Amino acid sequence: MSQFDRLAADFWTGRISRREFLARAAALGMSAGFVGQVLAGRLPKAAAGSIEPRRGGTLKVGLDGEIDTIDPHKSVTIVGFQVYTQIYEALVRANPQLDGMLPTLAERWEQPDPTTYVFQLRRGVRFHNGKELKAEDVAFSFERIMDEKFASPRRPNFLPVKRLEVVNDYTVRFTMSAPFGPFLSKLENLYILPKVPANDFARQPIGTGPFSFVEWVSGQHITMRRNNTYWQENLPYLAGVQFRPIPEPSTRVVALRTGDIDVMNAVPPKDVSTLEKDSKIKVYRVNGVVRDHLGFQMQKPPFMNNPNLRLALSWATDRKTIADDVLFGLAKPAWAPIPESHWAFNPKVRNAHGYDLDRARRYLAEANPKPTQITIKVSPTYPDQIKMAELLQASLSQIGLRLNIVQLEWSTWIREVVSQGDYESEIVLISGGIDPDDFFYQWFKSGQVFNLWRYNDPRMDEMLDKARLSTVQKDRQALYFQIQEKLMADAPLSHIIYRESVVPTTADLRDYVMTGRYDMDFRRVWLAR
Amino acid sequence: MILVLFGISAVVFIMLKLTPGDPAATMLGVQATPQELARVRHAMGLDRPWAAQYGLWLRNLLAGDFGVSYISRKPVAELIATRFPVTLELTVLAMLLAAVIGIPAGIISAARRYSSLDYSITSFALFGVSMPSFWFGILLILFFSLYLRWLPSSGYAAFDRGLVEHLKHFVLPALALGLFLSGSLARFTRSSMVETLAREFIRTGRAKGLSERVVVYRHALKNALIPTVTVLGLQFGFLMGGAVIIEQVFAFPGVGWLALIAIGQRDYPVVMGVVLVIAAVFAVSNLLVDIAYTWLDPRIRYEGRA
Repeated sequence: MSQFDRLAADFWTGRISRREFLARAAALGMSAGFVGQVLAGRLPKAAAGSIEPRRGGTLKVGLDGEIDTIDPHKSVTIVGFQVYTQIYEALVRANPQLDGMLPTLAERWEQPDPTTYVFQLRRGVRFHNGKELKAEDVAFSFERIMDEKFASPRRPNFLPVKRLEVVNDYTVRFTMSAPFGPFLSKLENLYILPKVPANDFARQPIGTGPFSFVEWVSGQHITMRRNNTYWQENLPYLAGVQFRPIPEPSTRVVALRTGDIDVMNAVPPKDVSTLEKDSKIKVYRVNGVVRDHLGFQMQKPPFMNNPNLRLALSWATDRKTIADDVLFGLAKPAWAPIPESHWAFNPKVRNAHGYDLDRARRYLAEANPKPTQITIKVSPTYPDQIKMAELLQASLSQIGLRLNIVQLEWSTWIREVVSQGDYESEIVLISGGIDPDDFFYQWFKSGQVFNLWRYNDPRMDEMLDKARLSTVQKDRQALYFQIQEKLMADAPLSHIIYRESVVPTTADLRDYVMTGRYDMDFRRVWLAR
Repeated sequence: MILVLFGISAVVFIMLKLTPGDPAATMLGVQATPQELARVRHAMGLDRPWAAQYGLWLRNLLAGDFGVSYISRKPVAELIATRFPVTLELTVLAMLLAAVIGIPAGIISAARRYSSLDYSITSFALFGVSMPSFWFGILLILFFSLYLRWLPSSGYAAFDRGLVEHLKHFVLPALALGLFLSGSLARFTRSSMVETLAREFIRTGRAKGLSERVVVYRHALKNALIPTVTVLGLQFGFLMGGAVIIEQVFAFPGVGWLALIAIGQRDYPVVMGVVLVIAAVFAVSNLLVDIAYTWLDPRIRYEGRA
C-alpha cells in the first residue's frame, strides 16, 4: 500500500485528525484531487483493506556527526536536534509544511488579548520516569532556559515573554511585554523537562517523547527504546531507534546501501541519483527552507546607494544553471527569503528577476559609481558557493565586470562579513524558521545581528515591526507581501536557490513524513521486514 | 621527555588561541548576542590573559586533572580513557599488518632483484606511499563492503560482540591506515637488504657454502632490519596522527576523531588532552626504538648504563 493510501486510511479510520491529514497530505505532495476524494469519503480502492503497520524492530539512523549534547536546552547542532526530539516534546510542534503549529503537549490554547496566551495541557501525559506532566514542569523548563547562568542558546526566543504563571495543574499563562506575532512558533523551542532539578539532563534525559533514552556510547551510538506509555495511543510502531555517527558522507551512503543503517541525514547531492536507482533505497525529497543568496554591503561603495549595480548582479545570476549543475537538480530558483509553499510568500515576486545579460548590461551602464571590478567573499566550508561565485564571475565577465573571488576560512568569513561588515558582496546559505518573522525580522531590520548587508530603511523597519506586533494572520500576510516587493526593488540581496531537503531511507521504511528542514519524525514510521 | 611534553603543550595552546573561533560561540549557537557571548566567555575564564589560562590548565594537569569538556561536560580523562584503547589497537594492528606485508615484500624484492616479482612489489610500494589513505579507505569500503559484502562498512564492535565481530570491524581501517607504512617498509627493507647482501660477510657466507635461505634470513636480515626498525618506531607516532583521518572515514570511535570534533568546536581542554597523550606515545615509541637498537646491534650501547 502506498503512503498516500496509508494516510487516507489513517484519516478514514480516525487515527488522525482532518487537520493533520491535510498537513501530511501536503507534505507528501498529494494532489488536490486525491485529497478532495478522500475528504469526500471516497477512499481509494487500495486503502479499503487497511494493512496494519508492522510493530517492532529497531531503526538505525546514520548521522553526519556526533551530537554536542543531548540536553535540548543546550544543544546547538542539527544532529542534536534530530536526536533529542525523539525524547523531548514541546507544547506545540511545527506542521510538516512548516508554516504553522500543531498542538502537542498543549491540547489547545487561546489568546484572550494580544499579549496573553493561555495553554491547556494534555491530561494523562507521562514522562519516561513515570511522573505526570503538570504545569509546574512547564514553568520549571521555562525558568531553566531563562536562567542567565545556565546560558541556554534557546533563551533569545523568549525575551519578549514578561512572565509565565501556573494557573492550575493543567493551565499555564504566558504574558508578553508587547504583542509578539511569532510567539507560537518560538514555543517549539521550549522542550518540556520534568521538574527534577537534581537530575543531570545531559546524561540522564527524561522527556515525554515517543522514545526513551537507553545509552549514549560516545562515538558509537545513542540508543532509545519505545516509550510504552506514550500519550499518542498505539504509537510508536518501532521498538527502538539507534543513532550512529558516521561523519564521512561516502561511508554513510555505503552503510545505507549495505543495510548497516536504515536512514541517513546530510546526503551529498552528487550521490542522490545513484541512491534513486537503487531498488532497496527510497529517496524522499521536498522543497526546503535552506536558501543561498548573493548579498551586498549596503553601507560601503560600490554597492552603497547604487541599486542599479545590485540589480545588474541579480540579473546576471543564472539561477537555473546553479540549481541544475551545482546542486545536481536538488534545488529550485529562489526570489524571496520565504519558501513558495508558505502562506506569507508573495506570488508576485516569483520570476521577478531572471537571467538576462542584456538587461544586466543596461543596469550596469546606469550604475553610479560604475566599477570595473568587485570582490565577493565565500568560504570553502560551503564549496557549492564557490562554484556559484565562479558561474557569476563568468556571466559578469561577459558584461565587462570583473569579479574577484576571495575564499576565507569559515570563522574568518563570519568575523569579516557578519561581525565587521568588511566586504563588498558575499554568497552564503541561511536557514528559515516557521513564522515569517523568522525569515525577515532578524535579517532585514536595521541594526540586527543577522542583517549582514547593513540594510537600513525606515519604511522596511516600520513594516517589520508592524508585522511582528500584529497577531492577525491576514494583516501580517499583507505586510509581508509588501516587504517582499520592497526587497525585490531595493535588492540588498538577490536570492539564488532554495535547496531541496533530501532523506534517503531503506525501502522497508514506511510512512515516513519529511519536512523542508532537518526534522526526523519517527512516531508513525514502521519497518516492513 | 617531560620537557618535550611541556613544550608541545605550550605550542599547541598558543596555536589553539591563534585559531579563529571561540568555544562560547559554539556553545551559544548562532542566535547569541554579543552581551551573552561576553558573559559566557567571562564565566568560562576565556577573557583572562593567555598565560593565566595556560597556567591554570598546567596546574590542574600536574594535579592529575585534565579538565572537563566545554561542550559535553564530561571529564577529559574519561573521554580519552574510553577512546584511547581503540586508537591504540587500530594503530598496533595497522602496524602489524604493515610489517607482515611490507617486510617480507621488501626481503623477497631484494633477494630476487630485477625479477618481475621485484618490479610488482616496488610498484605496489610506490602505490602505497603515494595513495592518500582516506581515499584508499573509501575504495576499500566500496569494494569489500558494498561490492563483496564481506566486511562492515564502518563503526566499531566492542569485545562483548565476540572476537570475530570485533576484528572484522578493524580489518578495513587497519589496512587503510597501514598502507603507507607497508609501502615505505617494503622500500626501506629492500634497499637495506640490497646493501647488506652486497657486503663482504655475505660473500663469505656464500663462499663457505651456506644455503641462500640461511644467508638471507639468518645473516642478512638481522643486519638489514636496523633501518626498518627505525622507520617502524618513528612511524608509530605518524600512524596515530593518520588515525585522525581514518577514524573519521570509518566512523571509528578513537581519540583522533575525538580531537577532530573538539578542534571544530574549539573545545580546548579536549584538544590539549588528546595532543598530550599522542605526544607521549610518540616519545615512548622513540624510546623503544632506541632500546631495540641495542638488541639488534650489540655494538650500540648508551652511555650512563652499566
